[in-house]
Amino acid sequence: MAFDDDDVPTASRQPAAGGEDAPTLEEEMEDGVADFRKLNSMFEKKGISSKTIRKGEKDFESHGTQAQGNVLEASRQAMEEVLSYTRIHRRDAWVRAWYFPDRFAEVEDDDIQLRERVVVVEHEKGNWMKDLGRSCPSSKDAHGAGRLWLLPEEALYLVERGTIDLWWPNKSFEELLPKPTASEGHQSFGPDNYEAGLPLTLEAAYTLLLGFEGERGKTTFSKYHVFTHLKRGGFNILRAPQNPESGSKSQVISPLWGGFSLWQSLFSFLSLRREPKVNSQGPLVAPGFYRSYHSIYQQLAIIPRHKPSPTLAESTEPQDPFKIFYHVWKSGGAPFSKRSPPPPDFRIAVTDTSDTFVPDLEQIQSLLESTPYDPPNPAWQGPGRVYQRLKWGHRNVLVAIVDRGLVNFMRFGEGAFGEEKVYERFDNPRGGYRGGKGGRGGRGGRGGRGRGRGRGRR
Amino acid sequence: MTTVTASPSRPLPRISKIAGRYLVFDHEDASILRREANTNGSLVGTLPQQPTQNMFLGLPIELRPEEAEALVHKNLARVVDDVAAHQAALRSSDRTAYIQSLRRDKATAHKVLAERAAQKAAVAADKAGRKKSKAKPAAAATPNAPAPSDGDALFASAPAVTASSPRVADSPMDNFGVTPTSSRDLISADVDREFEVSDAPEGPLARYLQDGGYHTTPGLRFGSKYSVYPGDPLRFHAHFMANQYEWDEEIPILDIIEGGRLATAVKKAFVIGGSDPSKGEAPENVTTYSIEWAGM
Repeated sequence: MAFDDDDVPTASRQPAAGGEDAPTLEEEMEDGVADFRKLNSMFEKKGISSKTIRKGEKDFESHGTQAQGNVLEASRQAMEEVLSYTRIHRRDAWVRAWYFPDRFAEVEDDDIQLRERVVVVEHEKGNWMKDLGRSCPSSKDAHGAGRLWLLPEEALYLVERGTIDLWWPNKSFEELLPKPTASEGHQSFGPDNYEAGLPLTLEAAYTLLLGFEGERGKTTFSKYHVFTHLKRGGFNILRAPQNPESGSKSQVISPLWGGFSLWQSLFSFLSLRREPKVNSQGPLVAPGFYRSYHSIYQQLAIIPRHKPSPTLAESTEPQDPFKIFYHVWKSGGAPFSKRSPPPPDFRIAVTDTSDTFVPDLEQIQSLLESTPYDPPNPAWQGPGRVYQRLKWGHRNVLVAIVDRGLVNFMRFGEGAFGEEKVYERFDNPRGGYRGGKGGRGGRGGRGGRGRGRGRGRR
Repeated sequence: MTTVTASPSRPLPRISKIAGRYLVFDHEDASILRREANTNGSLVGTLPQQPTQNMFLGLPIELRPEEAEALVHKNLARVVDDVAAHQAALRSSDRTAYIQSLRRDKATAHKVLAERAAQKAAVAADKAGRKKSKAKPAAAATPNAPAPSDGDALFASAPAVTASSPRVADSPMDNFGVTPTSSRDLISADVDREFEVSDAPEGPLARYLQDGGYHTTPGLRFGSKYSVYPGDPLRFHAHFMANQYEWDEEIPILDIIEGGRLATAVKKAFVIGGSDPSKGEAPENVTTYSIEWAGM
């Protein structure tokens, strides 16, 4: 019976012996409903032990008791308290930014996407600038040269996390942001000067910075959610350059070309020469005397296989939404430079569940072709790593799927099954197919005894 | 914290429509919707208190279009074209109400921080010299007094700011910037009313579930459209995984088996629902069936 109160899976789950009493984060997130009482205690660290703030197990349904009502009320109030927080900027850490959407409206596309940058930062304080914002070159804007300009998603993210105070200007750019050199007589507008402009609410920032696909100076909700999701996770993230890195193309070639090891090719040359000619009319495998499986399987391989290659013959332009939008770098390691970033760790295209379906072959192919050739690690040799090689693929791309703020990532790889010739193992002198017993078993070198390379291996 | 309830004096909870999305920014509105209209939505914003994690998110709350429609249909909320309303409000000359609200927030912030600093100073003074018991009231009375704690960096830096720019007064108003979450005070009631819209697409099953007092969350995690809860998801497990179908739509048998097996495996029932257009309008004309995998 499905609705057995005693048999709710989470209710019966007891902490493992010796383990921590509090449920794990995974358990907390069951159903995706966060326990805000726990969160609250994260801020108000008043020595509450994890036991006292532990979330009780959820109930099956309301049974009208006061105890149940009180627990729910406590959860709700904790949540409401967290949500009622107002973002306050203290003067010593106050970073004001201004919304100037039309300053670069006429600028043509360039490598720093100046046209899309609509928010300028007045005080550059803090350590958030390593991957956010770009300085305006003096060739584009003589007056505001050197000012840091933000993309819509960057500006909104910084407002949302309480870093910047975004203002709506009442005065011109020149009045509000005079050249830093003209220091004498320069009037500074303090945080209480509402003549100069108006601080924007978070809601107002949403209306100004989020829009539909293709609106200049705005980003879409799904792209914004992917951006914030990754930023919160500590990644460095930049928009992919508009002129994509020169990709490379894969091609389909005849299956008769295979990668042989030296050893194998010696062998097969001997055997090939003696084998009967393939008849274009006759049976698939020409009758005759065969000394190896290899030559039989070769004759069976009549369907051309996809073969990834580092160079591309021609490629189609990827179309939205299956087009790389963000480049993402893991945090840590060498210091990150937004000016000359290293090759990205991940390339991400953004889709939304409300308006996209599973990509068709053409879409995914052109998406993959826009990424650089990235074959599996050369160290992954041998039959034991077949699945690792296949999983990695020769090119790869991440597709982010957004459902109402919930972000999922799917990895698509260009697999090359045609490159993994399982039959080559059947003729392997090191045991293999028939078991590897007898005198030859130990000579394998790779695995030694008992590690035959036949079907048993994964 | 006091509990907020919908009262005759308070306008209906406001749903902001931005780029085709339906959002709630006001925490009191969110609380009213959760408590009185059994609608919780999904939190999608970064929490400013804890911005480096993805487990707990903050305002705004995003509602599904049909959820917003169900609320409007029952006159529990109203939808405002927020982009147009903001353009009107930001370009209007009358901003005194908003500025007043900002100053109010700043005064509150000043008070809270001063109290906190005083508290810290008191604790520090208490620790430093238990003999000098009179240091405690002195520190509490003048928060500007330097105290050996990091909590009053704000006050320590205030004189420096004053020195560099003579215009800056040492008033609490100039010591803070505020970013309110909702535009409640920015957009006047008249402007708000002017831009009300009601074009959200209708979802009969969403109306039916809302009307029946159920809470719903996105069913993505369990492979359906909605997860349906008998009460607040903060406290209760979901009972159903629900999908909506057209009245005459053919349902592939595999969908039924898939949904039934999936839901049963997580101790829930799979619900299908649709509205019969010949029998009036939703939610009255909605029929639902629940399906369980017998597993015989």
